[in-house]
Amino acid sequence: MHPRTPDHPGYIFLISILVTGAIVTATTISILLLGLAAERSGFAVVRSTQALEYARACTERALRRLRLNTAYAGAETFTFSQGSCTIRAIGGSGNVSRTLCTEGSSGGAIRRFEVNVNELLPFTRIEHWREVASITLCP
Amino acid sequence: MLRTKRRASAPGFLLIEVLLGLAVFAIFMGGIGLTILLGQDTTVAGGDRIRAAALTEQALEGARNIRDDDFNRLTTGSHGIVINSSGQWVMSGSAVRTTDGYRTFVTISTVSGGWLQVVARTDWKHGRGRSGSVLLTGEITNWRNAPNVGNWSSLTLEGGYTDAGTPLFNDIAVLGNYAYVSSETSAGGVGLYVFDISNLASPTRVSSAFFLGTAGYQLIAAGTTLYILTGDVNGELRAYDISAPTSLDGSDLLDDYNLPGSGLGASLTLDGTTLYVGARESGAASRDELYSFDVTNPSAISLRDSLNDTGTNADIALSGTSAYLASSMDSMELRLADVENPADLRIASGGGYNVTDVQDGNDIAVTGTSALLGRVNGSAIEELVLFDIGRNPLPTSPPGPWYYEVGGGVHGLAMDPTECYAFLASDFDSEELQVVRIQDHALPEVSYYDAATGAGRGLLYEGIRDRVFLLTNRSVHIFRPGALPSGCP
Repeated sequence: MHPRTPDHPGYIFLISILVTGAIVTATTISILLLGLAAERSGFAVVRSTQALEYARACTERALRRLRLNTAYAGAETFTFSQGSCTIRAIGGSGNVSRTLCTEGSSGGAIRRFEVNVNELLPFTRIEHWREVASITLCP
Repeated sequence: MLRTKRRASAPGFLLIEVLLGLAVFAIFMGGIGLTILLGQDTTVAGGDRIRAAALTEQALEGARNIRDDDFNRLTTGSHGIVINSSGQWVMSGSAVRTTDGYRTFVTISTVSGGWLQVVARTDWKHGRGRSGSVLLTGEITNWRNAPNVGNWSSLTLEGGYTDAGTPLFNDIAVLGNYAYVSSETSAGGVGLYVFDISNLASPTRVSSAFFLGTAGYQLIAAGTTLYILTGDVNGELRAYDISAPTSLDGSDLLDDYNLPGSGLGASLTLDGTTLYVGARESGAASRDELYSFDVTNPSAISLRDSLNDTGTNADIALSGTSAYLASSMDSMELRLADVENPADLRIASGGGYNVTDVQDGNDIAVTGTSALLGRVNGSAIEELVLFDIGRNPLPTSPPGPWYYEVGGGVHGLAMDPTECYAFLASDFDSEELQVVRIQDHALPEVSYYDAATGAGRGLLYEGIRDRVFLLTNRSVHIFRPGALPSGCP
């Protein structure tokens, strides 16, 4: 006659349920967090793009002002509904070899441009116009 | 012996347990499922917003592209922006819809003359919980606009300066409200004159006490520095500090450079921090005909490179990585040098262009897709030659070149930036200033001026003011055009 085993009916099933539940719960929380992160990323992209547009707006304003008056010195900040932009002090003088740096910000995002202008008038010729992580060309 | 107490049987209890378990499981799984769906929805919503941001940014880029073509094509109001069948960005309708349900439009409003605010917006509605909008604000100005060039078919003498003596003016540079004019000294000139031209009708001489000490030839003003080629055999190239133009004196000399040979400097031009000097031909060793100097510090002019060539380089004009030289080479009056690396000057592949007969090239002007060569007087030649350099820096025939009879030698040459007009100073006795329309290559003379103050010796077209400065033996004449529009469509 075989000895009887201890009587624990269903414990394997219970353990399985618990483990499965933990996995499912973790997965669900991950999906939830990923979704929230994706939504936050969407808003962050919009803010960053707006900051870029503000930096561009300042560059456009500066080039226009320089063409009207090559003595324009920059060093101005403009405020918009969703942020602001800054024109740093413009380097060089006269009609040739000018440097221009602008910064746009929106909701914590900041984007920056450095522009080297070969000649302002009669045609504005730009040597380079590039986005930078930090401004080194201007004070 | 222990006896396990048998549990009393509870008929039907297992069914209740199963039902309870199923209910708990269903609630649990329902919660899990809803949470998963919510997470999925927010992920998709985030993607919707990123997609909308890209479309909105694209609309702003399209508006900027339209501005790059022609600022006046941007009109106020709400517009869709699309790429047409020709691959051009155009404004179309009131909005643009994508196949995946996004609607984008821009609203353009005027801030001031030549200055627009552009607000781009994208809306979407993809179902319950999947709707929204993205708004981006930008600004566009007309900094790329072509300058306004008047109608030079009708020129007017606006003002000028006439010296009591005969200085024999040679060249002119304009910077801000001041004009710097070089001259000979053989007939009483002082070598360098400075004029306040804030009132073009009545320019006034300043720094009257300044004496260059030698003849002045070609000159360039940039920033706070004036570079001038002189007849000083021990320092042909000079740099002066012109931050105070009304009190220029000898102490403002920053540096000078002694070119090999004696007084061989003939022409100069500036590109950023590199100064190019053309020299008269010399067969002697180490006396080259083209030099490049580093003028990052005008107080310490340093040689970068020099190039030996055949022929005098009487004038230089830069375009991209090419230097166009007005040369005395009989087989190549238009000479081409490769200056992509100022520290390694080379003659460009092909060398240049041989025009008819052997009269020397004396002046060169380059703008956009056109190069003009002015030559010394020749009875059997036409002294002004127009080249098309739009396809290749080295002119080839066809198309062109095209010729214009000046009636005398060319001693000053310029084009307006729209490539409509050529302006030339000539020693032709009754037409010291000639204006030629070059747009359609027929090269008709559209106006001229008969100066009573001697031969035409130099000329400058100043694009900022749309004015021509003509130098003669005794005078600086200032001309303005007729009213807009220019004579070129």
